[in-house]
Amino acid sequence: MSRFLSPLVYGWCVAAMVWSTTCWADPVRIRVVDASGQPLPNTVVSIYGVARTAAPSEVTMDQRDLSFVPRVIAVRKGGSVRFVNGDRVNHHVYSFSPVQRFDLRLKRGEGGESILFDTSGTVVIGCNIHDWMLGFIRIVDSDYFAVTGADGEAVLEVPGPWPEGATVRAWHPQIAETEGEIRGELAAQVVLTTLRTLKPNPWLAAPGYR
Amino acid sequence: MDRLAPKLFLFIVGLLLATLLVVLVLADRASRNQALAEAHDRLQAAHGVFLEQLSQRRLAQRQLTDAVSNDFGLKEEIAIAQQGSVSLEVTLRNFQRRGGAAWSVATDANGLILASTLGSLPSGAVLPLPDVRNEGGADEELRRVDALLYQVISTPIYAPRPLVVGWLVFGFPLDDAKMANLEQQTGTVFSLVDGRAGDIQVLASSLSGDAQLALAVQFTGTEGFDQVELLGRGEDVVLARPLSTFSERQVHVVLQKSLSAALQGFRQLQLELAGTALVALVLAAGAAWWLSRRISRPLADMATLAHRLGDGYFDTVLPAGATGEVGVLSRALTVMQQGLRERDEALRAVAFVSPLTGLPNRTAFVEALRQAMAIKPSLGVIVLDLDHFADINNTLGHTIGDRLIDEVARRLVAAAPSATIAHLGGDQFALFSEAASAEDLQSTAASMASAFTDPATVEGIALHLTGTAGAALALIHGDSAEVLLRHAESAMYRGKERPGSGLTLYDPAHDHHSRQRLALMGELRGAIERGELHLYVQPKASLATHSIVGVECLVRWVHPVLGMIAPDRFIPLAEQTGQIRHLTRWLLQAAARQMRLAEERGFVLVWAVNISALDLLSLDFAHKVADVLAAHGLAPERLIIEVTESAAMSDPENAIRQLTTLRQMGVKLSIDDYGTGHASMAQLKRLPVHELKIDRSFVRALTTDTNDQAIVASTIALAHRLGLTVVAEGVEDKAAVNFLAEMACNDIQGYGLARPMPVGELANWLERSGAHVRSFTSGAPT
Repeated sequence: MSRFLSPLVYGWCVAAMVWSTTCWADPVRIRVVDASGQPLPNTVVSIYGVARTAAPSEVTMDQRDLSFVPRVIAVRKGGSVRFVNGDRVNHHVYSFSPVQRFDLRLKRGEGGESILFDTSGTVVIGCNIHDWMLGFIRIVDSDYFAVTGADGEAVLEVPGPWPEGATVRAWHPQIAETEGEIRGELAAQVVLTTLRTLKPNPWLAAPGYR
Repeated sequence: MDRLAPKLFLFIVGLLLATLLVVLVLADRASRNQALAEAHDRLQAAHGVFLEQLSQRRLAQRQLTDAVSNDFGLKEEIAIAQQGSVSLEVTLRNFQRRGGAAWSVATDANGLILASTLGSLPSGAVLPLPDVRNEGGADEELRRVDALLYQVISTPIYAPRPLVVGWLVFGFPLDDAKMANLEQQTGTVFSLVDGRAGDIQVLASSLSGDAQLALAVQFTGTEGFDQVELLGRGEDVVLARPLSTFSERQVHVVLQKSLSAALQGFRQLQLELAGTALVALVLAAGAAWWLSRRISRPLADMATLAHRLGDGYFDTVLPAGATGEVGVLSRALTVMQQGLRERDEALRAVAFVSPLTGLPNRTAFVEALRQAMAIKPSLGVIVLDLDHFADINNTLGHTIGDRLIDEVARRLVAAAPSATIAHLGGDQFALFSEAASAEDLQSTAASMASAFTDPATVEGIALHLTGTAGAALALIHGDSAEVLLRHAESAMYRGKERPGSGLTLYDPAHDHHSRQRLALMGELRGAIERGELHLYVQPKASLATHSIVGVECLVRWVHPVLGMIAPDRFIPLAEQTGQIRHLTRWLLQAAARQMRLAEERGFVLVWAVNISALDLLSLDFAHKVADVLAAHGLAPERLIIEVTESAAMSDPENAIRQLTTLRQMGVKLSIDDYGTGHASMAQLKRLPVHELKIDRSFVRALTTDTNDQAIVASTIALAHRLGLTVVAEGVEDKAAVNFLAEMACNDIQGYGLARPMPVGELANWLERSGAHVRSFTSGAPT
């Protein structure tokens, strides 16, 4: 029996462990685990408080074997996402998320269309033809961000020296959108742990999932 | 009547009846319990069907809502909808109609109503059913909305999952139609009620409006089975189960099944059972009747036998079939009957036969006469009574009297062999024979008379017997044996009054008279004691002295009812019945008393007293006379004993003996009524009498009838020659006096001289009548 979890009840307890106090090393290794220490893949990690100048890039969201690939992508605010249909079937990608509503009818093998996201937040995308297809687009207002791999880790090259108060945030679909970011101080090695139980794996819960 | 057979019958039938009633009651109860149990099962099953249907409906609805919720168009509508979106409402109606829902509501992710087809849930409001929004597999809930219960199905709208953009809620009604549908399927009344006892609302029901109302009033809110009487439905079995709880209200599904209807199925069985019971009862009643009769019939037979024994019948035959104690009793009764019969026959032999003569007695005679009359109507009855038999008994003793009766009986039987002869008792005999007329009877009587021709000799004493007979004819005088016999007896008594009359035939004209006289005889003894007898005297004058020389004592009976009764009406009867002795005794006493009184007053007269022949037969008569005279201090020569000629002659020897004794005592003797009997002067001379009284029948016509004159003259002469004085009776005129005086008759007596008078008047008369007496007795010119 699952319900929306109240932030009062389910506050996130964040523990940051610092492996090294030296600050000259450029790469920032971020590791995200759940309460039982299991790595959380598909987590969008981003760093705030460190700025750089770079043009918004375009990210591609492919559809293969009746799934979005990758399932979770991150895009910088103002950037765009190109939807590609690599399947042999047609797809009808849509979003009713308030951040960005759209729907795209993609014929099989179609190169796709690019959609611009100029509001930060989360856009949930689905396919009207294949209900179980689920994908997340996290629009971040950060210059440094990445999505964790299967080991729950992501490495970002952040040139030092890092300003005081810079933070690392982590967003995951099984963590609530609004309060769902785990935060920690920026360090060369950061481990973000959620002490609370995760929401059910949405891909596993989806009807029609294979 | 407290009889065995009905009691036994009633007991058996009653017992069976009670048993059958118990069986019927038990069967009824069992039927009822069975019906109840079946009703319970049916209700349980129906409840199961109800739950199953809810579940099935839920499944179907779920499929519908799932399909609807995946509709991209709807998702889009909800995702972009503003409050009160008309296009969303149209879409909702479309889906609602397709799914058979009553209403539908779409909300945003927070429950704010975007669009609604139900007026009571307007858009802009928050859905008042917060808990129906259950994302983890949104469930159907039973919810009351307004006055109805709905299956509310809610489903989240994902875009895509797990992003919830809104909620879609459908309401499927559980209304009267659904309840009716359930009743149709299960045969059970369905109702949904909300609330507790006393505050019940019927949300939906397959009952009619009135019955719903009744249910609302009577439903107690109790869960489980209940039995209630519902208005207009008879007795119902009710099953109530909670359905769901919300807002502190309890909704129950209430199932009802008519117990009456359930029992209806058992009605046929009960009827058959009752029918079987009835047949059994009738058969058992028959068997009980037969059995009770089998027991009581021999008892009733024995009772009949006992009753018949009481009535004198000894011929009852008891059925031989009886066994056991009844058989023992039955055989004992039969033996008893046999013994009683033998004793009865012995008693009967005594009861119907005269022990003295061996002839049938009165009872047997009447019975025989009755039977004979039934066969032959022309019968005659003769009753014979021996004359003066009482005197024979008195003088010779009863032993001789009895043997005499026996002798007479044998002679009668020999004389009239064809007649049935009975000894009625005492000296009376009766016979009947075929006789159509008086002549027939006369011949019978003649043959009977032959039995008296020869004198009967008993112990050397030869007695010449006579009898008096009376007869009655069945054809003329009576049609019953008793009446006929009584009439013959009556005729016999009449004959007694006329000695030597032979056979007297019954005469109805005399019947009343004679009957009265018979009655008088019964009263005579009492009359003496009660002083109803009065002494009269008739003076007697001497033709020589022309003066009164004596009186004749006469008796008068003044009956309290009949008045004065003349002596000739009761004296002959008194002689027949023997009561004359009492009369003579009274007369002697009364005369003696008056003689004493008269002498004390200076009237010296000779008093004449009449006695009967029976008095003469009494051996101590003379002594009694002497006693009376001595008691009053009277000289014997003042008393004259008058004896009739026939009385003196009936038993001359004894009469002479008695009269001689009286004469020796000094008492004067007189022959009364001389000339009426058959006494010859030769016999007369043997009697020791002093006086002769010439009967009035010769004196009455003395002046005209020369024959009478000759008789009287010769009688007087002869009497004088024998030394007797002569008294003429019935002298009424001076002509007779003259003739008598001429013939030298001594005394006269008669109406001419003086009529009989009460003795109390005698003294007075004597004092005043001197002249008359002298004148009358002197004759003088006529």
